[in-house]
Formats: sequence, structure tokens, C-alpha cells
Amino acid sequence: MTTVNNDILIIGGGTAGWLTAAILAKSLNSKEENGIKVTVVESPDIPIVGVGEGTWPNLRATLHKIGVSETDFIRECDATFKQGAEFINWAKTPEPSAKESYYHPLGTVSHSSYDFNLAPYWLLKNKENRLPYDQAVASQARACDLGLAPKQIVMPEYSAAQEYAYHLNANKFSTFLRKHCIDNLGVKFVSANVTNIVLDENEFIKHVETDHSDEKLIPADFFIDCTGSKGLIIKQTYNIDWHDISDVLFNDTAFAVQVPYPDKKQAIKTHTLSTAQEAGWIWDIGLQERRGVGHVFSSKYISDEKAKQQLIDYIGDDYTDDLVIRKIPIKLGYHKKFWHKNSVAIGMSAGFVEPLEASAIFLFDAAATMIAAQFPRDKKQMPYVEQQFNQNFKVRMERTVEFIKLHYCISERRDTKYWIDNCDPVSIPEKLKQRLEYWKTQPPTKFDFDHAWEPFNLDSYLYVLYGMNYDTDLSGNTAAYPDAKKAEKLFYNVDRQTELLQKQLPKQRELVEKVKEFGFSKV
Amino acid sequence: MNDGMINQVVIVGGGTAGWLTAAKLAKYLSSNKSESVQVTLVESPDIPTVGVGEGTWPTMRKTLADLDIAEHDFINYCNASFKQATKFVNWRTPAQNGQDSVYYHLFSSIVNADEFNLSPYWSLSDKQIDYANFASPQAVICEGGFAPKTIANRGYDGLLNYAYHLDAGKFADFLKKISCERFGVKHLAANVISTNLNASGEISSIETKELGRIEGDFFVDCTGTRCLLLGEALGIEFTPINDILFTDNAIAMQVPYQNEDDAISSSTISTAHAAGWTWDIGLSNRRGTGYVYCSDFVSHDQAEQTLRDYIGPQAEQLSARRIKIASGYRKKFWEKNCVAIGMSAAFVEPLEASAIFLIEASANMLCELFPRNKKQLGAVEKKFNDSFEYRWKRTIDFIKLHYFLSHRKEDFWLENKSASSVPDSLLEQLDNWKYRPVSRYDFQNTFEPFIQDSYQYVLHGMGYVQELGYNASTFNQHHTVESILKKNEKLKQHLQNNLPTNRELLTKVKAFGFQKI
Repeated sequence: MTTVNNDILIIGGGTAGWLTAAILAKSLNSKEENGIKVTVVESPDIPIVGVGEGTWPNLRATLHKIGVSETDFIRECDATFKQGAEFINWAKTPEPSAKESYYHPLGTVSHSSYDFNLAPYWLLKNKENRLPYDQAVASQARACDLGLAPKQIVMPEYSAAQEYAYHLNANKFSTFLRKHCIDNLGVKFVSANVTNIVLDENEFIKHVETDHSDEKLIPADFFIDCTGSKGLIIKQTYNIDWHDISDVLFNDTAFAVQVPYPDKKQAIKTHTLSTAQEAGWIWDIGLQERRGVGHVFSSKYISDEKAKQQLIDYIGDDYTDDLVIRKIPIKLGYHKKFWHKNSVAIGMSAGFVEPLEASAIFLFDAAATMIAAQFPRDKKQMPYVEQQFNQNFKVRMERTVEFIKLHYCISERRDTKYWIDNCDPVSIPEKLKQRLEYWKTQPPTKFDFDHAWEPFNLDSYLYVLYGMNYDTDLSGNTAAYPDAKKAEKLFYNVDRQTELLQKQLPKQRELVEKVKEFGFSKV
Repeated sequence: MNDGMINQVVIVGGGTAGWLTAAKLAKYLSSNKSESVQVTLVESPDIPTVGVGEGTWPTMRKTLADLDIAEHDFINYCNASFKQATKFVNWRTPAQNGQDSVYYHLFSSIVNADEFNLSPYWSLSDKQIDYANFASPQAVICEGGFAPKTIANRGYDGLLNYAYHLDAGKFADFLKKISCERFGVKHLAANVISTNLNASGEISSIETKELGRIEGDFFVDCTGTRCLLLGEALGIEFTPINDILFTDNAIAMQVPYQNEDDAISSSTISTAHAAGWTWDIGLSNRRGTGYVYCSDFVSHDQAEQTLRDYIGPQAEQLSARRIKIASGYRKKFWEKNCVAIGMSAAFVEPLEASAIFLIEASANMLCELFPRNKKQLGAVEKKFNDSFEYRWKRTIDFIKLHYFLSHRKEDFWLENKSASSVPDSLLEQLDNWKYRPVSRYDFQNTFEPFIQDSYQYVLHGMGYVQELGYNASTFNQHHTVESILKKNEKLKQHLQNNLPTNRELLTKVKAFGFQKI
């Protein structure tokens, strides 16, 4: 019997399946004769969900690593540049006339809050006349307001003037990755439905059976479940327990619609818009040819009809009757383990947390990258890697849930029962509750984030806490922040930097058009 | 009036732990302003400091810079020299035919392992060149006695990463002066007799022989192994770890340089012997040496003889000082309104010079999370205790690694390999690393005391055998490796041609100083 893992079979395509395939095939050198072989079996019949349209900056490093040209990617995936998210009407009950919003930009604060945290100095400023936190500590929120792209056309692929990620068309992205995997990375593709999963006497997977005439039986050493919420391996084969989080995050349904630009020259936002509603929130993502818009809500608090009407009202004049509104049920939660025996679940098969912070594609990427780095070529290593992976992703899932919950539970909205219930302490995870209690008299510091793989870091927490007007009272401890002069200088630098960016950076639409026409220079 | 505010901090005990904490805390909290938290340090005029911690980590550069100290002032006052590595002699095997077995644990690598890991490429190579030389230009620099920078570099800037060797007694004095003169620390010389607790079990004051009662809102226990506050007054127990790390004594000698231009080593030299190891640290004015050993395996007299033999004929005129050591840590480091920093918190043998580093780390965390109000105590206590329990355990694992991987055959060394003496966490990792390289995913905490690079220097230096051949196809970035190795060789040449020796640079620093940042 062989003790070496040589063949990986990924069941399911989609963003999760093809991104995993690309990362593994590249890292494990599948093109070489003695490299680990990667096969993807994807159903020709099941459409992918394909609403995950927001990403994180790590995707740039990943695309670069797997050998994709950024120009090709942008052209073929209808992609645009994303520099953050704007949260509208989250902090308090909206008043009809005034929009109230804050940004969570993707860039860490320019001075890096790890070395010198500006937050306490901002907190100590006069509340009446200080700039909002996001505008005060970094230039990116202002750049988003101005619709500036994060770079110039003359900058090489993947390099940035301001940290950025992408908005993309998930269907096109999967197709693009599939082609790259097959043409350039040595991934084998089988278009078939998996009909059965066959276990050996130790309950390890031996092979899968398919409806493909030439590939009736596909054996492998290691199996990856990218079958989405169906969970062919993790749920249907191993029946791994599910950790439900509907007591923390209430949304269970989404309506999604694609809205074409009425004017081809229309400006494209360089950030995701997230607008809070009575019983949920609406995403609004600008791609090249259209916007992706959707309403995520809790069916316990609002009827489908009303939720749909709110979406239509949001779209306003751009809404036409021929647009197709798709209903997508969402089940929030995750499995108690992700890696079991010789299989691991990546993507929605592993779990799903609502798309408020666009963490889905990030977590696929992180999972595949960790598996590639630790891939147990020798079977003896598997128990340790399994334990590491499960522990690591449990932490990532928990922290993601907490960070999403943060957006709801420190809101001052009390206009509906949905918001009132969201702020009920029983619905807040213990660790988040502890942190919030602590942050009442002390701003967050790097010591609050001691896990090396924490998905949301100090800067993200600061943006959301102080964007939502969280009241950290430092009045008893002002003397601990003596570097006011240094802080003032850094605040001033943000103004200067914004002026510079405004002079140098093109608008988002302008850059996208140039990329389509000329492309970036290669790295 | 008591609104729960913490306004008075009392640090009990001086030494490196006490004064470093005092300086950091007072600077951070602006104690030189009367409306801020006030820091008082009570130091016994009678108890001498132990003062054997003479090696630091590169973090010390940031610590000093943050305290607005000019690097040359520190170097000149504390007889400090530049440290770039620990050189491990005869740890893998005893000397054979007069040939030592040697490896370096370096502070600089040509590329950080978490960015691009050279380790598997070295493991799969013919190993004609040792790992340290493969992965860094710094080993040849240490071997040649070169400094990590030139006099033209600014204070705290280096061409290579470095730390210091220093005279711990002078260092405490130096920090005392700065703490009191610049940062507003109040220094009281008095002997502590007892500790008073309030109704909720917090420390309310200490009684001293000379000055009577000294009250405070928060107390830092820097009383060394006596652990007067956290241990004696608050009853927090000590967990010994002599079942893991066996050494229980050290014998120390200060060795003058024989000639004014004797080379000053730019690494700590750690040499293994029958029942322990000797340190050899070159300051600018003398060497500090010592033998750390386990008295179950060697008599005190024999141990002293081992150290004298190591030093050579010069040792005849020198006297030796013996120090008992007890490795272990407190079950908690922070309890109510008291935190222990330094040897009161824990002691692990000085093999990797972690003592001063962990003092810095403790003081940093105390500063940044300083509970200005007693309401915050519970939350900070838990965070601090969790973090430092983890850090101490990981430090113990890393020290044990050095013993466990040795091929030496003396009883002390064989006993060190007995499975019952090795923490499971270490065994589990070693088990994994047999078949795959060390990975950044093995380091889950942001505050890991020893990083991936450190583990790789020790694993490969100690001759730990990894079997990666079956998986060679995964390590396919040969072009990248080639260009890194080329860069490394070029840098070696360049540095050798341009760096002064450690001694030359120290002489210049005395005469001219570095440029200010």
C-alpha cells in the first residue's frame, strides 16, 4: 500500500473549486510528471450560485502567484477595482433628508495602527468639529468619495497606489480560472455528475462514481468538497455536525438582480455600497457593464413581497420590468469540522456567513493556500494537518461571525424589531461582548488580536467601531496619550496625501477603459 | 476618595526588570506630568541584583529608541557590544579529533521564511554548505568578528539585524538615571517587610523598614525569585519545570581581555559540556562566562573545573560565583492589582537569552493595556495571563528542542531525550517536520517568542533529519532560489569588504558616537 498522497480530486467547480484547483496545482506543481495531480469534476447541469462579487486584497497576490495576467483578468471577468465598503444608514435610524454613512477601506491606516495608534487621539478631539474617523486617519475613504481608482495605468500589474481588491462577475471568474487551470496549470477537468462516493473499511474515501461514460470511477488520495451548500462529502457522506448561527445573524434570504448601466459612460463606484434597511441590507456593486444589487434580509421580520419592493425602490429609476429578480435562500452557519479523514470542504460546503464583508472568496483562498502550504504528501502527516486546519478555520469562522455581528449590535437603530433584537445581548457572542465591554474605556490595541490568522484586524475593527460612533470614554486616562503633536502631524499628512492622490489618480471608469484598451505593463 | 481610578503604580524591586518596566511605563503614561499616573520604584539598598542576563534580542533596539536614548550613550555606559547570533558549539556532538561541531542561530536571514522558505531547498540539496551559510550572509560576518553596521549608519540602524551584549548591573543603573531624571519615576530605597491586602484581596500597600507604609493602586512585582507580592502575599504558586529543563545551578566568572585589541565576539558562544553548557559573552571591557549545569550529573567542584578548563590558564587568578537556578513559572503572572515581571514571573535557563526579551514584552503589554480604572482589571488580567502562559510554554519548548536533538551520549544528555521529559507540543511538531518543512502555519500566535527562522536554524544546525525527497516536486521554485543564493553570496562579499570588526566599531562609537535618528 502506498503511503503517499499523489492525487487530489476536487468535486464541484465554481469560484471555490477552480480557485482551489489553481492554487493547489500551482503550489504542488501538477504540471511536472512527479507532481501531485489535481482533477476537478464539475457537473454540467448544476449552475453555480455566482453572487459572490466582492473580494479582498489578498486575491491580487493569489492571482499573481497562479500566473494570471491582471489585464486579462480584468478584461475577461468584467472586473473593477474595489477599495472598501461604505455603510449607509447603519449607525442610527435614518432621517428622510440626511444620508449617514461611514467607510471601511481596505488599506491599513497609512501610519499603521500597529506602531502608532491614532484612534485615541481622534477620540480625544472635540466631538463637535472633528472629521469622521474614516476621513481623519487615512486618505482612502476620501478617495472613494471622489471615485478615484487605486492606481494609474502606468503602474505594473497588481501594484497599488492605494490598497485594492476587485468587484467581479463570479460566473466569468470561474470560467476564466477553469481555462487557466486546464491550459496552463496541468489540471484535469471532467465534466460529469458525481453519483456516488465510495468509502473503504476505515471510512476513507476510495473513489467516486460518475455518470461520465469514460470516467465512471475516479480514484484519488485526497478529496475536496466544493459542492456548495449541498455538501456531497461533508454533509451527505460524513454527516458532520452543523453549527447554526441564526441566533446571532438573522438574515436567511436574498433577492439578487443585475442592473445594466443606462449610460455606458456612467461613473463606477470604487467601493461596495451597503445600505441598511428595516430588516436587512442592500448590496450594490459596480462592475464594468452592470451593477449587481441584492437585498439580504430576515424572513422572520419582513415578507418577501415587501423585501422585494424595498429592493425595487432602492434601484429607483434604473429599475425596469424586464429585470429578473432571483430569490436565494441562505443558510448561515458552518460545519463543526471542515477536514475529515481524507477530505476537506472549501466554499459554501464548509459554511457561509452573510456577504456583508465579502469574506467568502477570501476564506476560499485562505483555505486553499493553507492546504497547499501544509499538504500532507505523506499520509502519516494527515492527523496533525487535519487538527491544525480545523482549529485554524474554526477561529476564522468565529471571528468572521463576530465581526459581522459588530455591524449590527452596536447600531443605534431602533426603528424596527429586527434592529432591536440584533442589539439584544443574548444574541451577541461572548468574546465580542467581552471585547466591547473592554473597549468602553480603552481603544482596541494589537493585543486584542493575538491569533496570527485573525481574518479582521485592528484597523478593520477601528473603522467599524468609530464609524458607528462607538463610545470609548478616555476622559479618565488622557495623560496616557501624550504624543498629540505627532498625531496632529499624521492627521495633517492625510490631508496632504489626499490632495496628491486627487492630482495623480484617474477615475475608476477611466482606468477600467484604459485597461481594456491598453492593459497594464506586466510585472 | 476612591472612584476606582489607578493613579499610583508601585514597582517593587529594581534590577533590569524593575527599571526597564519603570522606564517604559513612566514614558508611556507621561508620569512626569502631575495629573498622570505616578510611578514609584521601591528598591532594597541591601539586595544586590542578580545581573547575569547579559544577552538581548533585536527588540532592544526599538525599546531603547522608544525611550529616546541615543544608541552610543547606552553602548558606552553599559559596556555593550553588538550581538548578531548565538554560536552553538558541540551541541550536536562532542568535539571529535579536536574538531568542534558548530552551528549558528542568526538574527538575519537573506529572506524571511514566512515570505519564501529556503529550508526545503537546503534539505534537498547536497548540503555542502551548512544551513546558516545557505540562508544568511551573517554567519561569515560573525565568524570573522565583524560588526553589523558601520559608524556611518545612524543609531539603531544596521546593515544586518542585531541585538546587544551588555553589563546588566550598569544597564539597571543607566535605566534608573533615565527613569528618574526624564520620565518622572520616584525612586525609594527601602526594604520591604510585609504586604497589606484590602477587603477584596487586592494589595493596598507595602510596609518597609526604612520608610514605613507605601500605598499604591497597582503593584508590579520585580522582586526576582523571592516573588514577594504575587507569590508570598497573593499566594500564586510556582510550577517547576525541572522535569523538562534539568539545569539547576550556574557558576559565573568575569574574564578580562588580555590585550587591548583582543577580538570581541559578535555572537554569544554557547558550548555544550558533559552536564550542561557554558556561555561566553564579549562585552567591550571584559567577557562574562558561566557554566549552567545540573547538579544531579556533576558536582559543584567538577563544574567549576569545567568552566576553568574552558577559560584556560587565565582562569587561575579569577574567582567564581555560584548561583542556584530554579526553572519554572507562576500559575498566573497577573492577579488582581499586581503583575509580576522578570524572575518573579518565571525563569528559564538563559540558553536563548529570552529573559530580557520577555521583560520587554511584558512591560509593552502592561503599558498598552494599562488599566487606568480598576473596572478593567479583570479583562486585562485574563488577556495578560493567557498571552504569557503561551509565550513561556513556547519558550520552554524551544529551549528543550536544543537538548532533545543532540547526539551527545553523556547521561545528562541521554536523560534529556527521555520521552517523559519532552512536552507533547514539541514532540508533535517534530513528528510533522520529519516529512515537511516548518511552515508559517505552525505559528498561530501574533506574539510567538520564537519565529519560524529560529526553529529552522536550530533544527538544521542540530542535524535534524527531514525526509522531503518523496515530495521534491512540490519545491519547484528553482529560479527564485538561485537568484536568492546569488544575492546572498554577493552580500557576503560586500559586507566582508565594508564592515569594521566589532572591536573597531566599539572604539569608534566611544570616540564619535552614531548620528541621531
